[in-house]
Amino acid sequence: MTDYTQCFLYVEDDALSREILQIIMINAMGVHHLHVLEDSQDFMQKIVALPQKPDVILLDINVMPIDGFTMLQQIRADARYADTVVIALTASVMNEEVARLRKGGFNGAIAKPVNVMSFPSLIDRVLLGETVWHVV
Amino acid sequence: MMHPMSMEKQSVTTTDFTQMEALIILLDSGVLDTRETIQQVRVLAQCQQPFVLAAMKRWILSPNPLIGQVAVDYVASYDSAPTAYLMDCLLDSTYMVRISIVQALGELKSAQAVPTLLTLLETPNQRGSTLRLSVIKALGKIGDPTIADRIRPYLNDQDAHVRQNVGATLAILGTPSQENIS
Repeated sequence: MTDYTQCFLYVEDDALSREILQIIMINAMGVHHLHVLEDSQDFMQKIVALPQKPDVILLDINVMPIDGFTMLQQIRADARYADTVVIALTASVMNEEVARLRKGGFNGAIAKPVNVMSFPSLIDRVLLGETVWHVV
Repeated sequence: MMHPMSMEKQSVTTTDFTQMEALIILLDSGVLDTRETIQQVRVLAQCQQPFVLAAMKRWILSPNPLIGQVAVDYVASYDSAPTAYLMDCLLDSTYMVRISIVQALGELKSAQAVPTLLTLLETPNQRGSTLRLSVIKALGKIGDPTIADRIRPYLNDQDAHVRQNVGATLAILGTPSQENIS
C-alpha cells in the first residue's frame, strides 16, 4: 500500500463533495495530512497558516467568494507555492471549461464526483509528476 | 494456502478460487480495517467469477460506501443484466453509492433507467447538489431527447455545476436552452 506522507489541501463548498473526498482519502488511501477549507474567504492567509506547506492543492472551481481561477492566481503569485501542484476538481463536461483550466495554469483536472475506483490511482499519478486530465 | 492479505502483490487469476472464497469470507467477517478492506475488495474486483459477482451484489448495500462503490462498478461491468439490479438497489443504498449507481446507469446508456433517474432528479430534499449533477450527466450520456423539458428547469438550479451541465446536456440532446432559442 502507498504511504501518503504528503500534505493535501482541498477547497470545496459542497458538504457532500467534501465528505466523499475525505472518506476516500483518509479511510481508503490512508492519507495522513488532509486539510479542508469550506470556502475561499481569506484563502492565502489560511494556506500560510497551515502547519505544513501543501504538496497538492485540490480546488473546486465554483467556490465563493473567489473562484478556483482566482485562487490559482493567488497561489502562483506567491513564490513559496510556485512548485505546488494545483489540480482542479470539476463537474464540467464542456471542452471550453477544460481549455480554460489548461490555459489558466492548472496542473490537471479530475472530474467530480470522485470515486474510490479511480481517484487513488489518479492521485498516485499526480504524485509521480504526471499531468492528469481526467474529465468525463 | 496463501493468506488472502498477501494477494495484493500477486496477479489474480481465475484459478485462485479457494483464495477468492477465503477472501470473501474474511471481508464478510468485518475483521479488516477500512483501508485493508477496500484494498482487498479492489483486488477481488479483478476476478471475473460468478461467486465474486454474488458477493459484489450483496456489497452494493454495504454500510461502507467505499465497498459499495467498488461493488457497483463490478456489477455494472460483469453482470449480464446490470440495469435492473442497480435500479433495484438505488433507493436502499447509501447516498454515496446511489451516486455511483447513477453514474453506472449513465455509462451503461440504460434507456430503461430514464424514468427512475427523472424521478430521482425531481425528488425534493436531496442532500446537496451532487446527486442532481450526477443524474443530469447520466441522462446526457443516455441521450434520450424526450427528457429535455424535464431537465430544462434545472437551468435555474442553485448550483452552478448543475446549471452548466444542464446546458451541456440540452446541447447534446439537440435541444438548446431557452437563452439560445431566444
